Amino acid sequence: MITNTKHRLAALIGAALLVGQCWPASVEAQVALRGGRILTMAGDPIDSGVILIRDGRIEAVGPDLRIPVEFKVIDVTGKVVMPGFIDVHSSGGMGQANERNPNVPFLSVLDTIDAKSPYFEECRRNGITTAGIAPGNSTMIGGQIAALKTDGTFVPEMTLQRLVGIKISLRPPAGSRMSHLALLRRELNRAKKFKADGLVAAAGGDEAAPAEAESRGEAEVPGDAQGGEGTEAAAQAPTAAQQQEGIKILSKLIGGELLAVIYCETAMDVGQALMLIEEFELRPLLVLGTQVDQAVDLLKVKNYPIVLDTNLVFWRSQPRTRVEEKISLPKVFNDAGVAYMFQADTNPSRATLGSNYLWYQAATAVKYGLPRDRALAALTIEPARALGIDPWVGSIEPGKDADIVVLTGDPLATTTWVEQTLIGGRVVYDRGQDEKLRRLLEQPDR
Amino acid sequence: MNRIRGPGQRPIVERGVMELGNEISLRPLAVALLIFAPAVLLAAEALSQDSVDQSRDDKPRLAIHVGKIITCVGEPIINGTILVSAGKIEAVGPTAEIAVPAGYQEIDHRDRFAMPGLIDPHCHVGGSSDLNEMVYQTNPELRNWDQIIPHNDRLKIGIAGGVTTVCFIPGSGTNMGGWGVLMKTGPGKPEDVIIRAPGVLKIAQAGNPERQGGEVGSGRMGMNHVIRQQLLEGQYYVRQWDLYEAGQLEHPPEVNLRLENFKPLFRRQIPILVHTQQYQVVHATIAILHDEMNLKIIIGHAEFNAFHLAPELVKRGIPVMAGPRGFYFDPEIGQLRGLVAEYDQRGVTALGVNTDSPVVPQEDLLFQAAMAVRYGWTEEKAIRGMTIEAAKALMIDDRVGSLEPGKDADIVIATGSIVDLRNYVVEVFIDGRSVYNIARDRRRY
Repeated sequence: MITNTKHRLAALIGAALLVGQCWPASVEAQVALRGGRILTMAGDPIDSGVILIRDGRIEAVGPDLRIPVEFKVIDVTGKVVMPGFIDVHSSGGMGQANERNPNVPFLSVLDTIDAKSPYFEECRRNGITTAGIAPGNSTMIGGQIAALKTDGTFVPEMTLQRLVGIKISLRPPAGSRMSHLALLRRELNRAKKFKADGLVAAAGGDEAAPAEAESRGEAEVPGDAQGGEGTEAAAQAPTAAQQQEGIKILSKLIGGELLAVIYCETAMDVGQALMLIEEFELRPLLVLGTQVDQAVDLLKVKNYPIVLDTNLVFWRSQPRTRVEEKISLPKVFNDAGVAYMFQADTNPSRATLGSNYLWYQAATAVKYGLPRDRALAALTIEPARALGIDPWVGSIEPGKDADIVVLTGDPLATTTWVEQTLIGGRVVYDRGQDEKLRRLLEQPDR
Repeated sequence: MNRIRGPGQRPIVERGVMELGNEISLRPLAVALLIFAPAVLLAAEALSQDSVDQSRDDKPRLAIHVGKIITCVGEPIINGTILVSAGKIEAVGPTAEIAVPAGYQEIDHRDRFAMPGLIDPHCHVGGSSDLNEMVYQTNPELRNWDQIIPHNDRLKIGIAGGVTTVCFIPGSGTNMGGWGVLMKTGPGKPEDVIIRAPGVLKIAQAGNPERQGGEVGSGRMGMNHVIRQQLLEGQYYVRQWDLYEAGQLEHPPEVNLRLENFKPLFRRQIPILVHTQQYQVVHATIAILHDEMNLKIIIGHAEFNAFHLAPELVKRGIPVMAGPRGFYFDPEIGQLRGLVAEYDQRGVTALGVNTDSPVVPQEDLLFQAAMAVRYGWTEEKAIRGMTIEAAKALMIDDRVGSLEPGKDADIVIATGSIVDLRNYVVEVFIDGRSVYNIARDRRRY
């Protein structure tokens, strides 16, 4: 897998121009999926279609394609074929999801991703082929988000894009929302100032310190920024160098060069988020908590991409009367005409196991009125667009990565199984080989 | 091992006033001597108490006749003789082919096995037990040869278990605990027992070095960031010196004692012994320390499910010195897995065991190997793993790890293969001198 964006773009263009000729033939086998109902998510479904995959990418898709002699054919007659699902926001698959320090934009999830974590195995089992892995909701600026394919043993090889955005949480890990927001505004103002004049303002006030790293050629000798300060600097946290690095990354949020993934726990956080977005010209992806139904009118005005809480349907107790009211977030948002995406629970100990599965979340939304095609788009092309990775994933189109899920039937039905999951044209999950599923379902000997 | 600060430790090494400057790197032994004055006295005292045969001079000349010599290079020699002089192995071969020169003392071990002295790649008992400085997250200014105690009681029993060389390292309380030393376990002054200082750099990537409060490094994202930043600082420093020495800089860079020891590291002359113990952590070790920084590394611990990374380790030729946990209960299969065997089966040949002493007692290095064999390693590989493979990983195979002419005469004589726990060590030579002999010293283990 090519991890560098530029390379990927070059490869993509290359693939479009010289299909199959820019890689040695041995990179990946040629595979044809034949006979399935293909929901490409880029146009109408194709019945009994064919997908040709060469060197890990989709070469062609259509109803009556001739399969060249060198292609290995996988017969998926009667099955439903879709682009691999995309988990738009997840804190699974990491050794540790949160740093305790609330302000660490210079850290990346790539330094804590565990390729052998059960999260990735579950992803493959459930047809999720790409995940936006983000720091948790317990830090103010939690760090850098990466997009990863869900199969592999070595993280650099799984990485689709190293940096898709920065995670910001409006829920204070400690203290009040006042101080939390004051701190956050201060950091964003420093970033704004850096973007405007290349100077890193001191954390304490308005004085500007020269951006040493810039003038010294930081790209060449990043370690030197810490040089003169000796061990004392190492004991403080974060160090001046770390802060500087953080401000530089945050400055890419200003004006929307980089995606700002903002967690809003409550309805009041949504209002704050909207003000921050406007003030700092952020390009947001809003990740919402359960209580945000009360902010739906605010969200209606702007068309920002939204990810709903894992808990889609719940009871709310009126504090005075103790009257219980059932809240369905999908219904609230459907009625308001606000589009949204889903996230799955990564905590398997939750009582409602359904929320562990993206398809279940989508099915719940359909139950409460979301059109089916929009529910499916919210599992595939919409998250790809939200993360800016749609040039490579999210739909079955020529030139895109051959990340494909083969289902036994309706993607939103409980009786449907993922039959096979392909990433880069390679079968990374096969229900027939799933020993754990077999053990779960087999009849005990009598 | 983490944060061992034993109660009642004797304050053996007092850090004297040092002159700080260039000469430290140029004259390490002189400086070591200066620092170790108290330790030397102690060592000398140990020596006299230890009933080492005083009738032999410092460099005895010996002809040791042995039933079977496991040289760890090539096939074992049946009925062989090892000639030792000047602390080195002079010749090794079948007794019939070795002419014993005049003046060589002949030692009869004809019913016994000989093998190279064992090497423990992960030891914390080479000196005083204050292994962790917990103030800073990275401590490249610290060097633990400031605290060694040659031939201390734990090393002495280690010898009875065949251990002649240890990699004595700082603990894992911080992300970079400091520089460890490679030393012999036998008696002598520091400059006699030190093989190389700095021996290795100690880095710890998860678990023990987690920080509290507001510090960056409460999680693995932060810890890896901290490690990377410190290494980048060191890399830049060494690069400046390399440029100067290549004549590309007019003036020498300013000497920074905190970063001086990074020179041999970034010149790939010494490895990092990494405290790294499960899949994600070992992954980060490979990705950051090897792939990003292009450094020599040893996977220390290598426990839990990290063996799934064996193909990546094989691809890069990275050695694994596993332990002290020798096995792992794998919930995937509901069974115990023998860790060394898992690496072995996946093609890792640069493979050994450690004790993390005192986590496992120093003398039980052979027990660690025996348990690995119980779980599916082979006896031959186990013997190589404790000797030549450990020596190669630590980059001291020019000195120790096999019985070959020119190498240090570190020889273990045992009643048979020591991976069979029914056998025991009979005599041990370090640098050609008998430092343990059950007839003389009583059997200690």
